[in-house]
Amino acid sequence: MSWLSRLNPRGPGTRTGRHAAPTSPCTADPETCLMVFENHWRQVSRVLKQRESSVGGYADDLTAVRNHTDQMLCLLAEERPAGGDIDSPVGPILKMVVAENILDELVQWHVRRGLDPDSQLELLKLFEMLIGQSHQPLLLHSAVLQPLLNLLGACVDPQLGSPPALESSLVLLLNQVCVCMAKETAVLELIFRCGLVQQGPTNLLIFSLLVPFIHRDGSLGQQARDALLLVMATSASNHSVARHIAENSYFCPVLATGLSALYSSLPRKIEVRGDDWHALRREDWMAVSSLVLFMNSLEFCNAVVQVAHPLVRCQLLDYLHNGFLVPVMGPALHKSSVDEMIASTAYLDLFLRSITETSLLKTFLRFILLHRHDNDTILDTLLTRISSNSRLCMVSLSLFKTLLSLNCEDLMLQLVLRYLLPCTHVMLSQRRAVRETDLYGKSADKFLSLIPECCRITPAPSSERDDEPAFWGKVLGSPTSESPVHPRPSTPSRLALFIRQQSSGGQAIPPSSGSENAPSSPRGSVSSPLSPDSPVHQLPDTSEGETGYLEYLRDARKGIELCSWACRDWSAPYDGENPSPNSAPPPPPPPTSHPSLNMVQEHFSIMDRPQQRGAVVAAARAEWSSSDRDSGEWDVTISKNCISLTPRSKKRSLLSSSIPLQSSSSASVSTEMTGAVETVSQHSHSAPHTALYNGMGQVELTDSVDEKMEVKKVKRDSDVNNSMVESGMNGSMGIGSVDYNDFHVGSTMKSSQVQVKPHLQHQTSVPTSTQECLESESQRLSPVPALTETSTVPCDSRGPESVERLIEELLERAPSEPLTGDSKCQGISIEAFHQELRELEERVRERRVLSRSSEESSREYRTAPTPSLTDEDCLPVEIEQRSSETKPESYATGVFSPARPLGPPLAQPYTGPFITVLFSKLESMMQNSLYVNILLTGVVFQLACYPQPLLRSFLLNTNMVFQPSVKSLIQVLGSVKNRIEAFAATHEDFPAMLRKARRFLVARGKLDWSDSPIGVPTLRRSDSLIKSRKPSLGDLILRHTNSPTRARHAAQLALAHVRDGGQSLHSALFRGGAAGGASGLEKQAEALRVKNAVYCAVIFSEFLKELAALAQEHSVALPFPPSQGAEE
Amino acid sequence: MNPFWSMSTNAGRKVNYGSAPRSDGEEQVGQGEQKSSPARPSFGKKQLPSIPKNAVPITKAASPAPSTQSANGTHASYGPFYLEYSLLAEFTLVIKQKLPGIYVQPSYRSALMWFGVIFIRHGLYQDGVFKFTVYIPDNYPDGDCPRVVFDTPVFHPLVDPVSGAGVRRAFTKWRRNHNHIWQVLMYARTVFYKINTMDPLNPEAAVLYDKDIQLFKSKVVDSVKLCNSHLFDQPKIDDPYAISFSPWNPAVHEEAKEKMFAHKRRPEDYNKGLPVSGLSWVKPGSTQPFSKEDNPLQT
Repeated sequence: MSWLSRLNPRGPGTRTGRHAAPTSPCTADPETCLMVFENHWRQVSRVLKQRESSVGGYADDLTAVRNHTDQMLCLLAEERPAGGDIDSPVGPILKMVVAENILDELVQWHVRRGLDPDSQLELLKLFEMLIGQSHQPLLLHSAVLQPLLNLLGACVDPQLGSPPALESSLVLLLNQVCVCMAKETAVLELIFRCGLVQQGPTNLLIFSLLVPFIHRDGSLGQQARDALLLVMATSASNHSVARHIAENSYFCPVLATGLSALYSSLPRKIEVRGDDWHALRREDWMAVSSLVLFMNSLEFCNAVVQVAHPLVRCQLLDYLHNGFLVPVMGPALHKSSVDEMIASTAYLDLFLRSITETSLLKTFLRFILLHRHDNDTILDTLLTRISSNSRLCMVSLSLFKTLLSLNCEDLMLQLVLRYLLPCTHVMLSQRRAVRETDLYGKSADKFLSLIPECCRITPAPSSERDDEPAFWGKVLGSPTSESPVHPRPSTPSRLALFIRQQSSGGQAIPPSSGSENAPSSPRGSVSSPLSPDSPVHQLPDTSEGETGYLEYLRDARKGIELCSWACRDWSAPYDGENPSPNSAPPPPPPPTSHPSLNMVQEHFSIMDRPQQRGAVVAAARAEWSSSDRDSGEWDVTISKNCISLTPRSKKRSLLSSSIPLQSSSSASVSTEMTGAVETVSQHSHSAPHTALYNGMGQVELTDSVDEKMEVKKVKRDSDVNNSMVESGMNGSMGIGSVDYNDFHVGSTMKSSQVQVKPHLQHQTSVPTSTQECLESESQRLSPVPALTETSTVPCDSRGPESVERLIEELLERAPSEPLTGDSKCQGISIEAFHQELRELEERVRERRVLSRSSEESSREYRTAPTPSLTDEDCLPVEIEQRSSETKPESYATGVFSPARPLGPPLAQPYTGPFITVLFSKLESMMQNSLYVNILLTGVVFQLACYPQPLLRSFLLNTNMVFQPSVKSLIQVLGSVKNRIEAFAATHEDFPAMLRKARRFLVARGKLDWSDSPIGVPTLRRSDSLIKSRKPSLGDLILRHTNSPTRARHAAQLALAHVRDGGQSLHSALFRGGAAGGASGLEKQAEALRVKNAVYCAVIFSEFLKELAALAQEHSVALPFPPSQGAEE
Repeated sequence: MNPFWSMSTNAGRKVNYGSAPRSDGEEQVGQGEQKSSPARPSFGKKQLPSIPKNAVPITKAASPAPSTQSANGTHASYGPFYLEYSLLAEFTLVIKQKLPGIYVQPSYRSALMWFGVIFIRHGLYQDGVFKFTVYIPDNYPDGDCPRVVFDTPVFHPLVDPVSGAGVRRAFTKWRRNHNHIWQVLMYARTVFYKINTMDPLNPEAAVLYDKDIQLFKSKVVDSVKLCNSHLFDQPKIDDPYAISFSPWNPAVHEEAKEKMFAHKRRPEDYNKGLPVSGLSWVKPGSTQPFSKEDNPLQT
């Protein structure tokens, strides 16, 4: 923000052309000028005296006075200070003006005569010219200042403001006055004292007059803000003026509440261009006038905070917090529509990136960390959004990236460190290892070993490598020259891959992540424009080796250095000893840290026993529907052949769709028992118990668990018959979907338990974008029955068989996803899920018409790959069991805490919602879109740059032994690895697809996307595709044949477009389905799944290299000493 | 009697080494060594020497692929990085230890060879300036203890009078994770202050020390003089990063010295006006955010 540079007062004469000044006798000698002036004054005073006697006004008089005054003031403005006479360097004309109080008389005359707007304007302009062009500090003389203030007082009512016609002249004049003030600080004091005598409380008239213009757009507002800023800067050391501003002016409230007003006029929905859009960059918002206006004012706030007196600054910050952030930003962030959430999150991100003043940043951070909106801190709310499956996730990730880049201790404490401080996540014997560095690269080795076999493209055999001339000895002869043998990095580093992720939204803040800055020199060679077909592009395919790793090491070192430098003034090292694990306050237990759960608890607190449910449920329901908050306002309609989810209101959207936060590590109930999932489960209570067990079939639930389940279920149960199966709600994340399935499947599902879970993952993430469709669907298909009806309507008693088969078929597809223990948290892309949901509906409907043999489906099932259950790192079943074992405790401390306020101290380690949500999102990498994965891995990268041993060891030390219930990054990555490998095993042409995806990413990195809008598919395009997706009967049948082969075909088809390199993979894929044919749609969904998986494989491998590089760089990083006080 | 030595390396590079041998104040080991990290793009004149890494780091003597990890799987290709980084990490530890009077510098050629010099500030060997080389076995960290060889065999019970080898004895078995190179260096320093005649490499010196301390002392003085007289010799090993001494030349060394004292380490990417001022409002000792409320009118 270049406010200070704008403080340079305009030089006199910059606007001489504007005011047609009479030809001035510049060259005339002072004597002559004085004589001319006296002459004019004589004429004028004659008129003035005439007017004294007569009452009526003559136009002639006015004209005469005006003309003479023009001349006089021009002369005065042109006058140079008298040379030689040092004591009173006042020119003769000014001397006369002061002596005879000429200006005052003039103004008095005008005022007595009655000021019409025209003469007001004239006078304002005259004074503006006088002050702007004068060579002498006129305002130091009260003979000038006083009439000016009188004039202003006469022209403008301080309360009502100025007439519109006068505005521009007025602001210009005030601006000039402030410029003078900045030049001559004494003027401020004078104005202040003059005003004090005259105007009482509103004595800083000039100031008060400017305040209303703070938020104006255009040059008017800019001039006003410039002027105010000058006042601020000038008054920074003047306590009494500062006090006056703080106590008697509306400056701070106007500024803060003005922001609120401006915010409310911002677009509620951000029109997005590319599907990789995730943050507002400068070029994004420069075109939006309302946003420009807001940003101007925000920058102004920033500037005021920078220059103003501490009193004013504090007051402004207070008002910003209480007048803008809390009442406006808070609710805005909690808006119910996804679009609004996206917009407000992106805005907040932009604001944070634009602020440069530490204390203003503090105000924002304080708001984010400590302010509670509906019982949850803003931070918690924002955290949950990461788990959503829409663009909201990307925007939220971007926001957290911004937050992480602040390197703020307070933030990191709340976000991560407080959960790690007690060190309960590590085995007691391992606590000392927290501080250890990985001396021998074992962690790096471990990370690299997780690169799926299928992603390793024929590296050079190590024997060949020995022949490579690239080692120290070779360079010996020419130490100063770049080694000619330096191999071109063949692996795209984050920069190359992720270059489009740059988002420098704040105008003054360069992207602070070192890894994503503009290319440094070594990369110049890589980023040279190459046609996609150029042989260089083959490099990644052919010589995937260690060379790109150097780039990652460099990035990692930069990131770590910057981060540890930025953290050098933190209050503690966070090394497992300081702060002491024993003195650290226990972190909040899992559920309370989660907004939606909190909401759940609210409802719980009044109803902790099943017996009370009946009454409470109704109340709760009422509360929900009337509540402002997001709550379960979904109606589920289950009729014979159709299930529909109907959002009750527009509220609710996102939370309901977010996938569960808790992974099995904390094994607590998830959080996402709301919305669609929730209501679905409500109705599924009528399903048999056994079915409900399916999601967690092997779990032995203890009594206590059951009890807790009950409590939890109360909410979900709310309005349904409540005698159902507490145990069914066994805390799985996928509960909703479990029930959903089970409802249809019935008890026969037990045999296919194993398959249930992966599929459930998809279901847990009910994407918001489908809501509308669902809504319309439900309206079309069936009337929404009253709730009481629903509860009594049993599941389709006539078609359990067919429904069952249908579910089985759906499940068959699941095995194509490798099965892992923690898969509950997996999500699937919106499109895919939507597709499935749709299909389910359709098929239920079509069932009667179309019968399919179950043999076929079972055969399909058999052909599906059996997921690997033997991987030592992430043995799914084991993890499952482990987590289920730990569940009771989690519940006890978590969900149940409101009901048992005095529970035992948290025994189960919990690494916090941030880690949890990141890990669960990582776990679903295969289903995430490319851009989500890029952002996600970027956030984890940034988190892993932090040098604090607690955090570093948790993320990067693969040798650490954690408590069994704590999931480690390496475990999460291991499960992703397995899934990728399983996927690759089912797709013969995986290597080819991988190569193409990689090529696309490299090309994309090189591409300046802004000048090729065609290459970037718009979101709208895919959006419309989703909406138009109405699977036909044929489609549904085809769907059954869904198989790897089909997928392959689809992918091939899609990827074929990329072959020439000119097409982005995306547009190719999307275009494939644009024809709209049913089979096209079908292919499309499958292609999307394949696409996500293939991209995931690429990103995943690169991510592992990043992590390995980080682990290595951490071991050689040197800490920075704390700065002694002010470091420039 | 002490000339104001200054060290310099050859090849005309400016070095931030400068030393006041008598000052007993804490001196940093590897002072000029901001950070030896890989992939430094170039090392111009102003740049401090670091391990040159224009190429993939591979240790010179690595005839068989050294580390065990490199045997398995594709990521074997990362093996060189592991050894390289292990040694870098060792070097980082040396720097963190701040051993008084000891300076080391990995060679240009190989991370397995470090050049060093040790300044003895008091005791029998006072004013001694002994250059040495550390040889790290190429199967580090699974090999033997790194060898320390003094350029000029100083008269000392634990220094071989012919080869100059010494110190090794202290680490009969090198255990990874437990033994570190800084310990070797510290031991090398200690033996000059606390003479130990057990199991000597120079039996004559050992016997003299036990039987005729006066003669021992005079021999030591002679040896120290001898060593110091060879101080300005060209380094024995021709390496751009070998430590070499030259007489004090203000034109070269004054500036380097000032830089050394004024040096403030910054991140490589610093200077972009990043808002990375280290935001923290946590009161030391507290784990509550925004607990530091001491001056609400903070700067």
